[in-house]
Amino acid sequence: MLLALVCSALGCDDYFYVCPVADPARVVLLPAHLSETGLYDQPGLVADDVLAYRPAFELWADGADKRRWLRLPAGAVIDTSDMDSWRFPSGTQVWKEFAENGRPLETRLIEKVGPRDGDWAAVAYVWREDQEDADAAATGYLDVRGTGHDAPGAGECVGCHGGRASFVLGVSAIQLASAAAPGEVDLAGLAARGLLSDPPASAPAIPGDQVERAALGYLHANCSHCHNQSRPAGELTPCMDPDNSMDLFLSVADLGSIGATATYRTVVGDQVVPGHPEDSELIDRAGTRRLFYRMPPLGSERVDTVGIDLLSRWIEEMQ
Amino acid sequence: MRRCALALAAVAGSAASAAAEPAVVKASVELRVGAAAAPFYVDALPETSSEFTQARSMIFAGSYRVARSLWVGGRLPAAPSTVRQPAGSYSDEKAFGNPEASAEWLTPPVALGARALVHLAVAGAIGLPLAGHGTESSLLENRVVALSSALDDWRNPQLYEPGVVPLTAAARARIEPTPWGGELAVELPIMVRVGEASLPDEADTHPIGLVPHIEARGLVAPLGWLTAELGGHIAVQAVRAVEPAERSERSGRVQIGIEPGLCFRPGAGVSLTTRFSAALGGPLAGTYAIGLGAAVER
Repeated sequence: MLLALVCSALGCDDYFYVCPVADPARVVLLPAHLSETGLYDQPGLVADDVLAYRPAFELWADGADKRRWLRLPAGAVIDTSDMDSWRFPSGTQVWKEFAENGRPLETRLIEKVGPRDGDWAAVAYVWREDQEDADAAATGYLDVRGTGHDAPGAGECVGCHGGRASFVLGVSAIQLASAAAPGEVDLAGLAARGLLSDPPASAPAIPGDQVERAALGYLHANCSHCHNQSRPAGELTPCMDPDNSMDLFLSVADLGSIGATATYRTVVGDQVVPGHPEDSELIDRAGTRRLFYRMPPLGSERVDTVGIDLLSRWIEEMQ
Repeated sequence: MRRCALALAAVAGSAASAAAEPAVVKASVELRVGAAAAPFYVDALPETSSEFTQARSMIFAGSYRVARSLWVGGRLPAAPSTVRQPAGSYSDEKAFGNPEASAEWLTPPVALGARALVHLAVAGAIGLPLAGHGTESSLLENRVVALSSALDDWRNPQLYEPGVVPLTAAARARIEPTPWGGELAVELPIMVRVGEASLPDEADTHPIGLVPHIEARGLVAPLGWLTAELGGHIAVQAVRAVEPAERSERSGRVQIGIEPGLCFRPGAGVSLTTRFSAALGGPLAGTYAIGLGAAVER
């Protein structure tokens, strides 16, 4: 105990959840107000060159309603030569809006500000009470308008996004494979617009029955940005960097059968006990919000009961 | 730690008739480790917090006897904590507080009845406005010094308030435990603002801050080398150096705390202390700390 206290005081402990704050020089590269980022042509009217999209499997965000948009610089394309890890051109902007009861609370922006993989800047814009505009909150923002929704600090974005070389998580072959709703873009739509350097011959299809596909997708969307075995090295991954014996990432190359997926190869039989969700660590950790044990550790204060039900059913039905 | 140091001085003083050389130099270090939650000053962050073992403070102190009853010295506070961020990650930061120079005058002991000796001390201190304050994009240094101040239940706000020159007056009385004793301390820090400490315009700062505190402590010394203590303290933000954010749920001005502890004297001129302190509700609710200290005098 004494040793732990002294070690703690001297800073010799090194916990996965300790992230550096964002580089101030990078934060100032982004506008102070959302209205200046290019998302809107006019207040409330999304710009013509901005593409709305919705990933097939959504990240649990305590039930917040979300909308997402992507903009690529004119004439630029996404380097999709690695179908699992798209490389976005400098100038790419990706927004995600969080809303409750139809009123936006915050809109996050990540922007590629240079040519290197790590050249991303990110900040959350917190909407004003009058909904006229949203202001950059580099420190993050606790309990936006009393809702319990927290906007992340600029340095926290890397906690999730830094786990993949692409940095962008929701714009990928797996996530955009399904047919998009009207007004939104999907994989085929990006290819048709000539925005992919190497368009796939067909959209990737997740193997398995409906429950298996949904569970694999859920784990991919909610866990794999940290728990994957192809994390980038260096500045992108300063934290939330677990022991990667677990891999929940859905690779396009592994979709031949459910047994070929990284989830089945690395998790089933270990953190997942087939037939026994009650004995599965995955359910235990996803089903709690206890500090330093909960999964995911970031961006959620409420258990996703629907998600837990899905995962439990998947494990129960597993032979 | 100063209380134990005073005890040491008293012991040295009482033994002065037998000892050839009274102490002329004292040095101490006190470490606090715990969990802290405190009001903060910007709308985005109406509070700042840290989990158990991640809120920390260190105070290094030294003093020198320049005359029979007069000591001059100083304190250097440090605030190395791990701060909770809004989405649930944490960030490490280290910052210094306001270093302080002080003078303390110890009166000769006064007899109280047949056995008890009362020691009185008055002190004055001035600090340098060097407490950490960081960039507006993170305010992380501001937050770690706020956490360290909370860890001490606001008994040393002058050491941790950024952007102020602190002037502090203090008085202390101690009845040496034979075996029962006690201590009463009053401190009046006045913090004169000289800078905005990187806080954004929305922060409501005041030109003067005034946060007096009173501390009472019961002592029992069952053995010559061991003193057990039970203390209570109250700090009042009579005038805040900075107002908490309007929507802060930690906007109270009065903080009460308790602090049991043990003081060991393993050898001549050496003392070791361990204390546990906890805020009893109030604006610092949820704050508690284990304190470890060591002092030597020669």
